[in-house]
Amino acid sequence: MILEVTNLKKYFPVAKTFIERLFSREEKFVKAVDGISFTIDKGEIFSLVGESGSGKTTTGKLVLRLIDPTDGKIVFDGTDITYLKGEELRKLRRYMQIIYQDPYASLNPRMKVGEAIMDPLIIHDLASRDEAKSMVYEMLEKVGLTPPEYFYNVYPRNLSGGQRQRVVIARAMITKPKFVVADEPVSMIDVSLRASILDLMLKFREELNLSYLFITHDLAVAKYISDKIAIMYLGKIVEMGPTAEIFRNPLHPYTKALLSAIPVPSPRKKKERIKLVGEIPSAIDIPSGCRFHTRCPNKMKRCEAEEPELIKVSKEHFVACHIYSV
Amino acid sequence: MKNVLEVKNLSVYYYAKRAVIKAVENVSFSIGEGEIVGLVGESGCGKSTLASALMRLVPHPGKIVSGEIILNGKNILELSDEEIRRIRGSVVSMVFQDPMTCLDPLMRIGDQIVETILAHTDMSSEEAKKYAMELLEIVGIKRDRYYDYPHQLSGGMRQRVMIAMAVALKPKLIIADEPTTALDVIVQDQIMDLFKELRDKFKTSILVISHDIALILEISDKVGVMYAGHLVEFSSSEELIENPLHPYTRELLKAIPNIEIEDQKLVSIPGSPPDLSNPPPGCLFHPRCPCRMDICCKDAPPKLTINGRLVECWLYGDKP
Repeated sequence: MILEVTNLKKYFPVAKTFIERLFSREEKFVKAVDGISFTIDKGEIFSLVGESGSGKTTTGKLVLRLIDPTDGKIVFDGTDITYLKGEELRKLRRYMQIIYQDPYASLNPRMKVGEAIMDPLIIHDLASRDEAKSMVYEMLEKVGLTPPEYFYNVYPRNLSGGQRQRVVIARAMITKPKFVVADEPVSMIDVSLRASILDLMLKFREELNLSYLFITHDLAVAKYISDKIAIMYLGKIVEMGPTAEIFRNPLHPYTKALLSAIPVPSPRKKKERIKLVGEIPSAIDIPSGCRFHTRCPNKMKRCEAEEPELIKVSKEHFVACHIYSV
Repeated sequence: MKNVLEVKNLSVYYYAKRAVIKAVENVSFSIGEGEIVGLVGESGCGKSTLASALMRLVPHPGKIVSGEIILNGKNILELSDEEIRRIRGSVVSMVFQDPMTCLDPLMRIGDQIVETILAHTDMSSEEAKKYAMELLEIVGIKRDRYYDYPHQLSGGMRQRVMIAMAVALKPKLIIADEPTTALDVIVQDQIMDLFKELRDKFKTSILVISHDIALILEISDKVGVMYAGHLVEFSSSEELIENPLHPYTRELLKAIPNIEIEDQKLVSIPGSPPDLSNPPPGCLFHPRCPCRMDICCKDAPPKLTINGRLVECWLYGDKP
């Protein structure tokens, strides 16, 4: 096991106006992540899927300790890193990297591509400059930016979106991490090139036996790349299990709705549609009981009052829904 | 079936400082009454430029250099500025990608709809207000949200307001440029259903532009595929899926994940789209094409009609 997350929470305080502060002591919070638990094995690709505002990006930042959790526990590679600070945390960073969504924003426009990839090696003091340079050449070849002599010296503005994302991946992989958070890595990449970026990520998984936390809103992409999937809704995991199982036998009404909303490239096929009304509610005023009950087509009386636990329905398949609790 | 829109040999170029960029090159297609037509392509293929040309809104330094755009029987390229202004909204209207930047943040949404109605009709403001409330209901928003400001609405609801404005004057054609790209799948599904409902109700034709082929294939009757400014294929969605003619279409279909296929292997197209300020000779797709022949590298491919389908490729034409 590379990562174990238990009951992780992140509440962001909501800023109040002066008047509100005078008349009310009640603090309000955005409950971005509200008590989630999961584990990621070595070499496993774990996808977090959900709509915008479901808390998937916050989860990614929390497990890398880029932001501090409100509550819960994060164990990385056997070490409790929940409250790790300073030098100790910095040392760990070479083993945990991140790939962001926007390859235009995540590269310094004034830094040559080669230097950008080399930077982590220098920061973590993993190689001398000369050694580092040859490592960067090797890495450029691996991510398909050849000839490396040319790509070492170009600036990000000379590259296309797909090539930039390759640079970002190269920079994340140069320190030989054990765990990488990939936050929507292909949503800004043209469709004709997406598969090549995903395949590149799979290649590094083989080579380094590394694990990914793959964050995406696109279930089709998640299906292609991941071993396990967790569906998030308003800061909670509502269903979790092996990818094939989730697609073959989705249990939670939200998962079913998500699956039926994905466009399928065939106009004739009439899909069985599950229609949801409205949109994801605000994370400040989370509905009582099951937080999905306001939109759920299978709502029962108890859903309004009682919050369902994430229960095991079969080996490795978990769901948080009263339909499946006895 | 009557054609609402006929585009004939349309070319739109951008006159940049150093180069002329041929964003839309010799494109022809038509849209019938009540039809939903999809236009797909990667970023930079010219699909948004084409959309703006159809409203005669090509931004500077772009120019429509040749061709005809026949909308509802009139060539809009020959109209005066005043005439075209009257057509926008009433005969053809547009829904953009980002509803937040299209709505005035300081104006109640109802008043924004009323403004559109008053600008084009001789309704009194009382009538217009009543009509705006009806429109809100048609697009699935409660009447009392009339007095809300855009920030009080979610992304999906804002897009519904945009659609309410677009249908307000019962146009013949709605152009939707990436209407759901900023929205989540479930909301996307709802918005697409709304488009279909409106089509059935008002017999409006809809041109949907998107980079998402799966979405386009699911909702459209006909589909056009654009690559580097060219419309490389145009046919009914069924035929396009079952028997794609152009190699680009074929490769694109292999590159998109389909959740209904078990153990799918995705294949990406090698290389990247050409730099339009310095395009390759011959067919613009030839550097990435798996079916490349010698002629593709030299001469531009012919525009062919095969069983009513348009395709621009040497595979099907007589070679000189």
